[in-house]
Amino acid sequence: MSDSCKKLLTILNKFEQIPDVEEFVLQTASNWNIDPETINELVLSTEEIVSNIINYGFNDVSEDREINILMMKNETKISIIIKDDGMAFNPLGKENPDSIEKPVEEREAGGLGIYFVKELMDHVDYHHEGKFNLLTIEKFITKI
Amino acid sequence: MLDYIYNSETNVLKFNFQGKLDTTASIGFRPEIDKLLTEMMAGSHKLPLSVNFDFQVVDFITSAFVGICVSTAKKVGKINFSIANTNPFIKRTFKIAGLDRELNVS
Repeated sequence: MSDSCKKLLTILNKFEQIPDVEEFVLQTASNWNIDPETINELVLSTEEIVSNIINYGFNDVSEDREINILMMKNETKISIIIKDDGMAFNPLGKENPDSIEKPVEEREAGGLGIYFVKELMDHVDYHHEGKFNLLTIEKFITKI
Repeated sequence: MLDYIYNSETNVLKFNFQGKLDTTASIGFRPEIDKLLTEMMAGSHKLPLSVNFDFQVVDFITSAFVGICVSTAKKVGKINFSIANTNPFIKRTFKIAGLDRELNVS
């Protein structure tokens, strides 16, 4: 994989940084000629994961901590690895929310983010390495 | 900033959103919408309050904004809540959330 097919963004664990994440994924995927539908899926999925990390990953939210977003592409797929050193947590271990079957009156307003990621991506994987959480999302690509 | 129009004759409150309705946007909008709905519903009007979210120039919504849609539907009643002008990706997002059959999304 050449360097041109690998891009890294490092942000702090602040909600104000989320637009930077969206712009990074959008611009990088656009430069790689990824189709618009897939770009939307990648932006939304990355946003959900990073928001989850900022929301729940760190005990002390006032402390600045880094989150790395690494995008890679080869002939068949695009991969995004999101790395943080927050609390060890496998978001994929959670059951899918049963709220999607419920009438709106019985729903709680939340809990769908990781479910969206699993539905939109072709492959999702989590592992813990040293002090880091590494969540990988992958999407098979169609060139335009 | 919230962009909305209220029709006092029909008691319809229409919100015009734009861009990406992500977690950051939702953090700002949620308390404003809650407060506005509470104030509007406290008024005495012969008709129930109807709320419309216009997504004509919205790119996508995340789960955080889906949460706002759920809480709004619960507050005013789903029969009085509608979402208009959604693009195909937003429609798909509502479908994944199982809300396409629960809410009036067009």
